[in-house]
Amino acid sequence: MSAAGASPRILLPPEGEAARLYELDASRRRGGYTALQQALALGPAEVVARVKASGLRGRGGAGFPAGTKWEFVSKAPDPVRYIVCNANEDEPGTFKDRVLMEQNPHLVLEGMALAGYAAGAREGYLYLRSEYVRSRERLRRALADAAAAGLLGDRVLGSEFSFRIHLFIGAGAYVCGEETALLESLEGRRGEPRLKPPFPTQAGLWNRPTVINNVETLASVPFIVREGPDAYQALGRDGQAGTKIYCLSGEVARPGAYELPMGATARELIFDHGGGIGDGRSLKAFAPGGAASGFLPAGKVDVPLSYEALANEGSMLGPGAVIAVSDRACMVDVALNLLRFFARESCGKCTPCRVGTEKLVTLVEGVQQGRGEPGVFSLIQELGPQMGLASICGLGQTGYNPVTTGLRWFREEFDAHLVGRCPAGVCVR
Amino acid sequence: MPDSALARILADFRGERAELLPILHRVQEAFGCISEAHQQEVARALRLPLYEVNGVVSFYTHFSKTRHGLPLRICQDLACHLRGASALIRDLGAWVRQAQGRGAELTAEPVSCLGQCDRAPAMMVGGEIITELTPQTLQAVVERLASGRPASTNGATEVGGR
Amino acid sequence: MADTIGLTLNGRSQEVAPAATIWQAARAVGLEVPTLCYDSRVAPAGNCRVCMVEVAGERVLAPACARQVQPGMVIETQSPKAVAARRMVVELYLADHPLGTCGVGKGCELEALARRLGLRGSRFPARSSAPKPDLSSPVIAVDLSKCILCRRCISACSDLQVNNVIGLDARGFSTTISFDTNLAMGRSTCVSCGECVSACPTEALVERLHQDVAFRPDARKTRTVCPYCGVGCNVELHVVDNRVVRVTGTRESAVNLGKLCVKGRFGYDFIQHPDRLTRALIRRPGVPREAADQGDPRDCFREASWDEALDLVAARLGGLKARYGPDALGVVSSAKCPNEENYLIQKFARVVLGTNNVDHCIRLCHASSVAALIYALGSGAMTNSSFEVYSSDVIIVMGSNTTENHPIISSHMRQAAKRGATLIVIDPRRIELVNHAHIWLRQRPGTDVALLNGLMHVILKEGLHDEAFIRGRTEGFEQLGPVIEAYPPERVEAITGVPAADLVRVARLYGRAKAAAIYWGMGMSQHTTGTDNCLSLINLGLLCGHVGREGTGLNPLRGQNNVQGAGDMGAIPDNYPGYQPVEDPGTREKFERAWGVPLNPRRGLTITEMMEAMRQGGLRGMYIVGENPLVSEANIAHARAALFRLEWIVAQDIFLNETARYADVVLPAACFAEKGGTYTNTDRRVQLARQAVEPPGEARADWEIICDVAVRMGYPMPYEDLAEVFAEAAAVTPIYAGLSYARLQGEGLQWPCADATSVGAPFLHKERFTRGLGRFVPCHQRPPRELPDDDFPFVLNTGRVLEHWHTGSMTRRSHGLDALYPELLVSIHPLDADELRVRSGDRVQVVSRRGRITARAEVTEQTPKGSIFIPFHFAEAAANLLTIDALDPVAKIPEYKFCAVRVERAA
Repeated sequence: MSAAGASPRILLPPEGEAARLYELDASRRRGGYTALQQALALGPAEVVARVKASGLRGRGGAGFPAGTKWEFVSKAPDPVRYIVCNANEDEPGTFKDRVLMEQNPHLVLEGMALAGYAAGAREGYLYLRSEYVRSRERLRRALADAAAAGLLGDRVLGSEFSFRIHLFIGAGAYVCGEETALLESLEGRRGEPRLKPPFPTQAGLWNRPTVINNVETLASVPFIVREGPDAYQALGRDGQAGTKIYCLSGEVARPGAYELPMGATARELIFDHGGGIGDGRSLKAFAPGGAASGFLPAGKVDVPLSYEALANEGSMLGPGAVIAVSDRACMVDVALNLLRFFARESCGKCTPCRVGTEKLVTLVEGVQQGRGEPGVFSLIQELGPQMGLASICGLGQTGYNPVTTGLRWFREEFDAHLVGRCPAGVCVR
Repeated sequence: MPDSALARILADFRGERAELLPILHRVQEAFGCISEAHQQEVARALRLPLYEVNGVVSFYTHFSKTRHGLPLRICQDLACHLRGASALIRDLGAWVRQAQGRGAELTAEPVSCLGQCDRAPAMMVGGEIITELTPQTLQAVVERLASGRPASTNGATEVGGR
Repeated sequence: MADTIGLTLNGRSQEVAPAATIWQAARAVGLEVPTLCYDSRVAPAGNCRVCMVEVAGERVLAPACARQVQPGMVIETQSPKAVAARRMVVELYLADHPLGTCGVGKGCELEALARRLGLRGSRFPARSSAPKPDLSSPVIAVDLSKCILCRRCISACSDLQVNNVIGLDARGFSTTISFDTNLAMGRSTCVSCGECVSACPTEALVERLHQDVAFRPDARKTRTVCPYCGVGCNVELHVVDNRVVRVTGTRESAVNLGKLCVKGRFGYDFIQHPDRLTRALIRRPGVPREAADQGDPRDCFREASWDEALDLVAARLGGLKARYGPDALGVVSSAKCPNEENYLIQKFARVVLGTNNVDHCIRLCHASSVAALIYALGSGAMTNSSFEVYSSDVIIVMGSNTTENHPIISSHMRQAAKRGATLIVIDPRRIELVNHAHIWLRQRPGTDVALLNGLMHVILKEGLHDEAFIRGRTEGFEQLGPVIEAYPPERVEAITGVPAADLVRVARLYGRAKAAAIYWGMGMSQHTTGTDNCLSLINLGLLCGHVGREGTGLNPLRGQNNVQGAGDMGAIPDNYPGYQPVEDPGTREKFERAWGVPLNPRRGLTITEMMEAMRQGGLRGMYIVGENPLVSEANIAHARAALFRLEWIVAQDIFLNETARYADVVLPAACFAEKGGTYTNTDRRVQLARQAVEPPGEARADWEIICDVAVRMGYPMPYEDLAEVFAEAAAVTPIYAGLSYARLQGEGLQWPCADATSVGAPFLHKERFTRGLGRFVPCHQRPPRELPDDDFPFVLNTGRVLEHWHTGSMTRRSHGLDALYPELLVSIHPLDADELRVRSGDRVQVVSRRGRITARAEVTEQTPKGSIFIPFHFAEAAANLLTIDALDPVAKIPEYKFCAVRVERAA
C-alpha cells in the first residue's frame, strides 16, 4: 500500500502481512528476541541507560521520556513491580497499535520483556481493547509460542530473569487509555482515572511501582537495545528520535499506517503517502494528533508532526493520527462529531469533564441547528480552557479542542451557522 | 440457588477481584447479558459488594444488564463519519427495525471508534469486524444475519475466534 | 520527618504540617478553600474540582483537598486562574441545578457556594431530562435531579458505615448514584442508617419525616446521647415548638464520629406519640388486673393528681413494708434511665424501703458476662473500648449479631476489616458481619464451651499460648490443661459441627495475633451455661495474653443505653454503687454513714428470683420503673401469673406498656429527651445528656418522682438538680470518684476515674487485673436445658432486629421504624420451610411447652437448619411466651437463646 520512499522501518515490516512476522520463526529470522538476548548480557542498568539515551518518548500521546519512567521504577524501594502495555487504542483516527500488534506482535512482547528486565518486574499486563479481535488472536499465539520457546516465562533464555505476560481484554471504554484509568480497570473497577500524584511509577497496579507504556513505545525498544541509542536517534528528523507510525484516515485516497521518520510533515503523509484528497476535492483541515488535538487548517500542512512543532502550533502530536478533512466537510459538523465522542466516553468522575463535555455538545448542537445565540462562541472559548485546567485527566483536559480549534481557524463557518447557513451544505436545518 | 452454567464459569476463576472483567466477559458471552441475578452470583463469588459489580457492568459498553438482540455495532466517529457513517447508521436503523418486524433478534448500536479508521466505515458483529461498508454491503449483512447466516462474506472482514 | 515544612500560601510564608493537604494547610492558617465533595472523615475523592488552586510551576490546577503539601510549594488559592476555574465548575453545576432547586430547607452547599461566589445562574443550557424522585423508602426521600455527584453518599455508605449499598450506575453525563443494581432505595439492601442523608451536600437525599418542620431555621439543636443500645452514640436533637423533628449525629463524638443507625436517626417520634402518659393513673376500685386484657387498658384507670397518686404510693408501700417487712418489696430499676436516677432508685430501695431487692434488665442480658468477668478478672465491664477495633489485627465476634444490636460498633468493625484486620465470626446464624468476615464458624446452638475449649486445645498443643503472661498475670492455669485435653478438634467437630480445619485456622490466627480482641453478645450470655460460656472466653483471652493491652480485650457488648451505668450505680441486689458488696460489713458501714440510716445486711433478689418470690408469696409489692417484664421475661405466662399474685404494683413509665397496665398506680415519666443526666455506655464512657424538650402534660422526670415518694415516706431527698445527685453518687462510687459534670462536658470520660486528675481508662487491667491475678476457670461442655425432640423438633433462638428495640414500646411508636419493619417475622431455613411447605409470608404457628404464637414466616439462610429465630419486640406475638425460664445457676439469667419448639402452618 505504501508509496513511501526508502525511509527505514523498525516497527512495521515493509511487506506488511506478507512478512508473516506474527509467526515466531519468521520473527526470529528477522532478529526477533535478539535484543532480549543481548540485554540479558548487558544488565538492567545498561538497558535503562540505552533507552534513556535514545530519546524515546511515549508514543501514546503524552510524550513522556520512556527511559525516565523505567529508571524510576528500576530504583523503587518496592521489589514488586509491574509492566503494563497500554493497547487500549480507542481514539478516533488511531489504529497504529492494531496494525503493529497484528503484523509484529513478537516485537511488542519483546519490548515488554525488555521493560520487565530493565525495571525489575516479573509480571506484565497487556491491556487490549476488546474490538481488536485479530490482534488478540495473534498476541495469544505469540505469547504461547514465545513461552514454549523459553523467551517468556520462567528463566527467560536460560537466565535468572523470569517474566510472565498476561493478556487482559478491555470492555469498551476509551478513557481506559488513560494510564490510571487503565490500572483501575485492570484491578476490576470502573475505568476512572486516579488523582495524580502519586504517579504509576510510584504507586501503580495494586499500588506497586509500575511502568505503563504504549504498544509502539515498547516495540521501539528492541531496536534501541540492539542497535544503540545513536542509531535510533538517527532515524528521526530535525533532532527528533526514531520512527513514528503515523495513522492516516479521513478523506484521503490511501488511508493507512505509515512508519516514517519522527518529524515527517502532514504534507508528506497526506499527499506523498496517502495519495492526497480524492474526488477532486481539496484539503481544508486536518487533525494532526488524533481527535483530541483539534484541527489545523490546510495551510499548516508543512508543520512537522513532532511533539514540539505541534505544541508550538497550539496543538499536539498525540498518538500521531492525522485525520484529513476536505472542503466538502463542515467544520461545525466535524467538531460536533468529535465532541460527542468525548462526551460519550467521559467517565463522569470530575465535574468539568462530565458536565463540560455535555454542555459543549448541547451548545454546538444548537449552533449546528441554527439556534446558536450571540455569545455562544465566547462561552465555549471560556469553558474549554477551564476544562483544561480543572479536569482530572487528559480526556477533559483536551476534549474541547475540536471546537475551540475549529473556532480559531474556521470562525466564519461557525458564524454562518448562527444565521442559519451551513457553507458546506452538510448541516440540515 | 446458583445458576449452574454461571457456576461453571465461576469455577474457572480463583475468586479475585481482578478477575471481575474477565468473568463478566464470559457471562456476557454466555447469556447475552449480565442480569441482576448474575451480578449477585458474581458478587458473592468475588466477595464484592453488589453495587461495585453493577458499577462496573454499567460502566463498560460491552456489558449489558438486559438481553437485547444481537448487537450490530456500527462506528459513528470521525473517520467513519467523514466516509458516510451517519447515512449508514440511519439506514441500519431502518433495516434492523424491518428485520425485527420479521422476528429477527438484532439491535442497531452506534458505537465509538472501532480502530478501523484506515478501512472506514466499519462495524462489528459478534467477533467479526466488517469494514469499508457501503449501503449495499451493510444491507446484505443485515439480511444475512436476519436469516440466521454469518455476517460476513467479503474479503475486508476480520474474523476472530480461531 | 520535620515537624513542619515551609511553603508560600497566597504570598505569605507559612509553616505547615508535612502530611497536610493543601486544603488542610490553608485551613490551618485561616484560609477557607471551598469544596463540595470533601468529607474530612474519609480519603479525599477530589472529583468536584471546586477546591482547585494554583501551584507554581504546574501546568494545570491542583485539587487542594487531595494534594499533599511539599516543601517550598508556592500556592495561590485565590489567583484569578483558580477563582475562574472554581466559578466555572459551579456555573456548570447551576445549569442543571439552578438556585432554588433545593427548597425543603435542609440546605444546599452548592447553592450557598454559588451565592458566595456571586453566581445567580448559569449561561449553560439545562439538560433535557432529569431523574424522577424516588419515595420508596419510608424514611429517606431521594431526588437525584438535585444530585451533584460529589459521591459523599457513597463514602458515607461504603467507607464510613460499610453498608455497601450506594454506588454509581452508567458513566459520563449519564452517571447516577445507584442503590445496589440501580434499584429504588426502598427495594435495595439499604438499612436506612441515613448516613448518606447526612453526607449529602444538597437535598438529593433528605429525611422524609416531619419535612414540613424538620428544617425550620428556628430549630434548636441539643446535643445528647441516643436512647437505644449501649453504644452511646451522640446525637443532636432538632427541636421546633417543643417537638423533636429531626436527629443528626454528632461528628465530634469519639463514639460515633457522627454515624447513627436507623433507630438513632429515625426512631424518635415516640417522644411526642399520643400514647404518652401525661397524668398519673389510679386503678378504678374493683377492676381486676386482667380487665386490662379487654379493650382499652386506660379504661381500667382514672386520672389523678400528682399529690393523690404520690400519697397513695407512699401509703401503700409503707403499709406493705410495715405489714410484711422490707424484703416483701421489690424494685425494678431501668437501664433506660440515667446514672443519677438509678442511683436514687437503688438508694430509695435500700434506704427508704430497706431492702436490697433492686435489680434491672442486666439480669436478662449480661448478668452471666458480668459474673464471669468479676469472678475471673475483678471487673464486670468491657475490658477495652470499641474504637480499639482499629488497633486489633484479629477481631473475634461470638454470639453477637452486632450489626443489628450495636450497629455503630459493627460499622467500626467492618471498617477495621476493610482496612485489613482479620474478622472472625462465630455464630450459628449467618449474620450480616459474615459478609465482612475472613472466617465464619457456624457452631450448633448451645455448643460454645466445646468450641472454645477446642480452640484452646489447639493453641496449647501448638504452643501458641503466652507463657510469660500466664506465669506473671494469672492463676489456675494448671487446672485448664486436664479439661481442654478432652476437646481435640475432631471431637469438637463432632459436637459443634465446625470443621476441625477451620477450628485450627482460627486458633492459629488468635494465638499468633499481635493484638486480638473478643466481642460477644447475648448469644453467649443468655444460656443456662452463660457463665461457663463467658468464663471460657476469658480462659481463651488469658491463655494468649490478649487482655490488658490496646486492641485486645474481653468485651461483652452491653444492650441498653445505660445498662452499664445502672449496674455501676448499684441497681443490683448484691452490690452498692461501684460494685461494693452489700454483704461486706465494712462497705455497709460506709454507706450507712453516707446515707445516714442502718442498711439491710442481706443481699437482695434478682429479677428472676423476685418472680419466684412472687409466686411463693414472699414478695408482696413491686415498684417497676421503665421496664416491661411481661414482654421481656422468659416464659411470660408464668411471669404474669406471678405478677398477678402481688398485692400492689406501682409502675412508672412513659407508656402504659404491657406490664404497667396491670399496675395499681401508674406514674407518668419523662423520656430521655425531656431530662438531663449521665449515661454510661458499653465501653464505660460516662456521657452527659441534655434536656431538649419539656415532658408532655404532667409527666415528670423519674428522679423527681422518686424524691417525692421518698419525702412522703419520711426520708428527704432534697436535690436541686441532677448534678447534685451525680456528685453524691461519685463520692460513694470509687470508679466514678474523679468525674463531675464539669469534666463531662465534652466527649465524656471512661471509668475508672479515681480522682480529678485521672483521664479515665480506654482499657482495663493494664499492669494488674482488678482482682490481682487473672483466674482460669475451666469449664466442660454442658447441654442446654431443653433439647429438641420428636414433639418439639426445632431450636428457638430469640433476639432483636435492627429496626426495633426491646419490647417495642418506643420503636413501634416511631413511624419510620414501624413502616420499615411492621410485623413479627419468624426466620426459618429454606430446607425446613420446604419440609413444612411454608413460604415467606405464610402464617405459621410456633408452639413450645409453655405457649404458642402465630406470625408470618421469613424463609432465609440466615437461620441454621433445625433452628428458628424470633425477635422479642412484638407483644401481640411475644417470643417470650415460648421461651424457657431455666436459669444459669450463677447469674440467674434465663436461657433465651435455646428452647425446643415446633412449627406448624397456620390456618
